[in-house]
Amino acid sequence: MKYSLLLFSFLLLRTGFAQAQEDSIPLSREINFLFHLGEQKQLDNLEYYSQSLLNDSLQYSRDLRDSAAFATGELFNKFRNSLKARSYYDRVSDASVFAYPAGLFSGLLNAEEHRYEEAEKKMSALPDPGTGLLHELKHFELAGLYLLRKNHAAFDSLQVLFLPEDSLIGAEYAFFKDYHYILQTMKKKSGFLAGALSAVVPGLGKVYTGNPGQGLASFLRVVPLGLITAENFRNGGFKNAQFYIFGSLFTLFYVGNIWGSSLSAQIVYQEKVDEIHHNILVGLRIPVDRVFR
Amino acid sequence: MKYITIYLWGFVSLLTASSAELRAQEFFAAADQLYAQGYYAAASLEYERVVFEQPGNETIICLALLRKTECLKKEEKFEQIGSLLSRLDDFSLSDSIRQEIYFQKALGYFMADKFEQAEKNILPVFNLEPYHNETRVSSALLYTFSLHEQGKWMQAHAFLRRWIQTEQQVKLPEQENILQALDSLYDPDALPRLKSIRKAKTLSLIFPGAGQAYNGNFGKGFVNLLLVSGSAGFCAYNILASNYVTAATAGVYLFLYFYFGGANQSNWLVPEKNYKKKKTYNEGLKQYLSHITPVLLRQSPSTHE
Repeated sequence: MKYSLLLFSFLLLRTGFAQAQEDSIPLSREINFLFHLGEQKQLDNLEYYSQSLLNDSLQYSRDLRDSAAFATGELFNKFRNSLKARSYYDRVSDASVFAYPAGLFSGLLNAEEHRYEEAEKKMSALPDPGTGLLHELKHFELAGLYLLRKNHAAFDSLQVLFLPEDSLIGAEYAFFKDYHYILQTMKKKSGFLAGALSAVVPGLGKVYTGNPGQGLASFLRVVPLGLITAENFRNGGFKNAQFYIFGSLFTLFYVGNIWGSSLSAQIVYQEKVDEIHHNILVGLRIPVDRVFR
Repeated sequence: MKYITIYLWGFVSLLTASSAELRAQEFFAAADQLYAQGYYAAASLEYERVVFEQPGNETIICLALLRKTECLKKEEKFEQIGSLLSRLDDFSLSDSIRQEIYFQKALGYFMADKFEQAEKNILPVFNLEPYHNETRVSSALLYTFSLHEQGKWMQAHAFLRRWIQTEQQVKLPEQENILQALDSLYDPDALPRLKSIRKAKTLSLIFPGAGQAYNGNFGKGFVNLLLVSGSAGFCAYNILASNYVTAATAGVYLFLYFYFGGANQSNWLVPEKNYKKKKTYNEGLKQYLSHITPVLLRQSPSTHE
């Protein structure tokens, strides 16, 4: 039930209530003004005001500054300024009621910016109640980050202990297990073989690595140059200047194509990994949005 | 009992309202002080605080946002002015304030180089009663400048003529002179002749280099002509030398590349030339209009100051 309380606190903070307009509750008044700035999209004012709240420890309590940092992080997150959102989430103190969501959102934003190590640190530092939804959420996020960091051993060890009861987390976690299997078994095409194939037939190496379109384009670039060079040699021999010009161009494109084909093996592999990483990142956000948004 | 409850409710509302108003006044005074001291970011925040403290009080909100507009201008954040003033509910405000809002909004768009939006936003000013002569003259000039930037000189000329003749009402001794000067400034023969991309492209396709020459880029046109004829010569030479594959591939490729490349060059050469022409011409117009502004401001026929 802890997360419900957390959610309630957040909603209370966000919407405010009637008395919040009175001086008797200055805390809600300041936060409400922050949300007013966000609603009016006055982001320069929002940052200026938030900084003035956070830097004034004499006038404003720790609770208020934590709430302000979290609210500002939320607003910048809403406007897709993840750099600023992250910096404000990170200013929420560990003692705050917002420490868990702030750490979680900061971790997610780090992961989305491919700062996986930092994201894992944030997620590991989240308080763990031992059971329940927040416990499952933390371990689910960590599982995804292990996959993103290619730490398959850590994912395996987590898999033994982690059996989510929540249906949504369970469904997303099943996808993670599939990605774990694919990432471990997926084989990279041989760069050497791709280069050798392109040496025999220009573009064939790229067809082998899974890029038939690029293969055809390479073929249409290299082969005509080869034919032009051969024709100029046949008609003028070594005395023909055009033979040297087109011969040089042909050599350049022929060698470049071999080199490109051997590299494309790595590029195609990386594209497949990136696609899986993207799916993992989307999966990481789904349960978080359901619990906290 | 019912009346006592209503009375108490009214009394509490009054107290709450007056306390909110006092708070808003305090923030307003603080904001004005910060603005006077040159702390524009801080002043802008305080004006926004006034808006927050007085929800529903459109007059106070409007005054605060207009002052905030001044802060944004000082900070050169012109692109924010339009959206800031769009928050106001125009119809609940007096004509004089609406006139000021429309002008400031259009000015923000103009300074942010959004001339079409500036033109649209300034138009409502002319449907209102003339309260402030200065704003009215400035609005007319701003509308004219917005038209100039879009190359709508004839529209600007017609507007200025009509505006000086009808809106100003007072027959000035200078009026005839001004109108004559405007006629000669906006003389259709003196207007910059803007080039057409389509025409330049067509000319280049008919004769390589002709499109560039039409646009005034004679050097570029000559280079294009040389490249196209060179590639055609290369193609012909290889046919004569029995290098048919070379002619059909490299020769044709080079010819098509330079032939169509020359035509496509118009896509950026023509707008570049037109921009320079417009800028030079508009600068001359701006100088003359700035020169006659004091004359226009001297007449305040039907202002309700």
